[in-house]
Amino acid sequence: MAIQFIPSEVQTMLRDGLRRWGGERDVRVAEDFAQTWQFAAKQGWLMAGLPEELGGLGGDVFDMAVIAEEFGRALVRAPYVEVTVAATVLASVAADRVAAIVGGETCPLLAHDEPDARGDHDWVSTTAEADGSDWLLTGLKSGIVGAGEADSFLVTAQLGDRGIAVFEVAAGDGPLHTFVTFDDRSAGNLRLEATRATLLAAPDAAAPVLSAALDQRLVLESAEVLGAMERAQEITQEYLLTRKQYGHVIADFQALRHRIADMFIETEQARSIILRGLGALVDGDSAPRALMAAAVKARVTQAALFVCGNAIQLHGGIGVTDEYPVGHFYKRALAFDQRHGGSARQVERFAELSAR
Amino acid sequence: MTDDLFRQEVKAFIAAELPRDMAARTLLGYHPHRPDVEFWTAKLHARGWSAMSWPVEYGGPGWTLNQRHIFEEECFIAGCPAVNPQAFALVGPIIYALGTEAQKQRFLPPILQGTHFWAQGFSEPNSGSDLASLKTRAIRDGDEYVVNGQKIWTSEAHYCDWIFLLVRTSTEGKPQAGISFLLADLKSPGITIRPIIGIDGGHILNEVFLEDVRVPAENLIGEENKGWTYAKQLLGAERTHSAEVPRCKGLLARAKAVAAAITARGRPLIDNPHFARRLAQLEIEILAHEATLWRCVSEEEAGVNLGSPTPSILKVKGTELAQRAGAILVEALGDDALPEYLERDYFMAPPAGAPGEPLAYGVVSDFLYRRSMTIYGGTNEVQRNIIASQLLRG
Repeated sequence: MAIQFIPSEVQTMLRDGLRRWGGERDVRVAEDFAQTWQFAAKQGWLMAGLPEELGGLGGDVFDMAVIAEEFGRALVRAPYVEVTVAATVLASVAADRVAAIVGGETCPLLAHDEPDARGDHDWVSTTAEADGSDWLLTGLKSGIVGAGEADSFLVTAQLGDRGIAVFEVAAGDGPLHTFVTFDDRSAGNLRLEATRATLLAAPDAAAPVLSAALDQRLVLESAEVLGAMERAQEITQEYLLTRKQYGHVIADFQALRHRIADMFIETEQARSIILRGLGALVDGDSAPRALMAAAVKARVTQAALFVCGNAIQLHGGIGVTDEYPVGHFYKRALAFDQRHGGSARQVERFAELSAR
Repeated sequence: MTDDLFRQEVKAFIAAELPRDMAARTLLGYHPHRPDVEFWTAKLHARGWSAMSWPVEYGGPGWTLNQRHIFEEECFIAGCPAVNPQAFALVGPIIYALGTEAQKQRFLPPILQGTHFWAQGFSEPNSGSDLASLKTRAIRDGDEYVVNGQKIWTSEAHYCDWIFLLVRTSTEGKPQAGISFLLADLKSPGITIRPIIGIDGGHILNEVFLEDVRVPAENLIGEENKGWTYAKQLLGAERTHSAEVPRCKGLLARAKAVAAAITARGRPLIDNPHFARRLAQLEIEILAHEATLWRCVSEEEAGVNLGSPTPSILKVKGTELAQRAGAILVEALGDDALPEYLERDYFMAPPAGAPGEPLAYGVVSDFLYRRSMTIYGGTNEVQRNIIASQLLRG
């Protein structure tokens, strides 16, 4: 398996640049999307991991994971992972569209999840009906993070009994209900009622690319949350060394020392399984890749809720306030757990996929 | 009266008196609204039920411990606004046990009627778990104390009338020895209240700044420099309250209701055996916890102390189970849990056709706010230390 354990020189430079930039951000508030996105495009962050012939920098998902992790540390709200997933789909079915994405000019998002799916990649009840050369889509797509910034949606729908196809709906055309998530990100549900769409990929072409993109989504979002865990852990360590009670810094109390050690162990378990997941993405063999992606999501969520939850607990009262950062990391972990099937559901999926 | 008959009587009272919109509002799990709490406390008071745990001579209903437990549970499940806990569970009992006749006459009736709301001024920025290190000073000046300092994590202070304070009146001897218990009118000149917004986006916590606040010496509870002893009694009471059995059961019931109403992969979520199994596991743990509370109640009623550190066990288990019940409720909502439903948005303009409407209202914000349960009233780490030191006394 192609696991890259040691970061390349290029990845280290990439990480250093991102960390300097992210370190200046106030994690408690959303950044200006347009400014961030243009900057990210200029830095080449949107090109990383995409093939050179499509306007990318070459490299692979290990590069993307570096960016996702650093975005997670800084709690960037912009839908970086979500856009890379859309780019992965388009790279296979409409390669000429990728250059505009890496240049930051367009921002398409995959609209695949439905409330009923609970992490099932092939659960799609949205339907498509032919109307001349166009298609009319009907159904509900949920939990689209970044929806407020998107200019188009890549919508999955059942094409008769042929299977799941990918369509495109312009952002203005679909009845989009936007909302702010509890971790302060722009999101939306797409309510399609005979909404006009164009066909991007028929079922045969769509199946392999969707399965790869959805596995990639689980692993890269996990990398984003890993960044959030790391930062929550660091802030908590600093706090234990400065907060005094009973005449001691609270880092002197054994119960808290054990807890911070357990948090660190969990963070490292998360980091390790993400590397395995990235290796499975690079290998590309679909059955083991799907299994590993489910494992990554299950394990990283378990770790993230433990680490970020205990970051709050070890801070005491200050940890539950909006003006202190740790609560914001916890909210990111909780929202991550909620999307595309939470940790418990991913354990079920893992069992189901293993049995196949 | 049998407990079953008593339960029927409580249910009938609630059914007759609790307005539906108020119950619906309360069940969402947002922070209390003073007008609702005032209304319901007055209703309870008219029936003689507002102070369920107080002795009859001070206005209590004379219930057994088990009856109180039944009452609390029925109220919680039906969505009755909770009476101001700082007044009824904390300062009230201190006033009737230790207050002067004049203090009892003055302070107890407005608590019973629900016209005076109280805040608890204990924690300070550098005195959380280590409460005895508190620094807010009260210096005697004729018939008054002059109070200077800062309190923090003061729940509900922004709509309370009075505050009970732990203040330092002496710096001699052990830190515990120089603390006094004072009652102050929150309208006193020199008191400033600043909101602390929680991770739920809501406002219940506050900082209270005290600058040359003059408090009449007649508002001292008991003796000067004995406040620590009084506060310890009261923190014991807070921990019994934090068994949180009604909350655990209420959250579990709501999780079941959501899981029955919401579908996952084409079937009601409750039919998913994996999910049902985890709900069952939690329910079993809640049953054991509830039985622990009953044991504690029976021992207390029989005047028997079997020597277990029960209040701390109840606090640790109750808060951790309530957090787990909250987590499974959030999980049940799936994608519908994602929108942020702030309390003010709900009350000012209920969103129409929003994702998760109406099952998801209040769920995530309550869950986020309840991260504080394992912190307040003595962190669960401190509670475990208390349990261990009782077990390991040489």
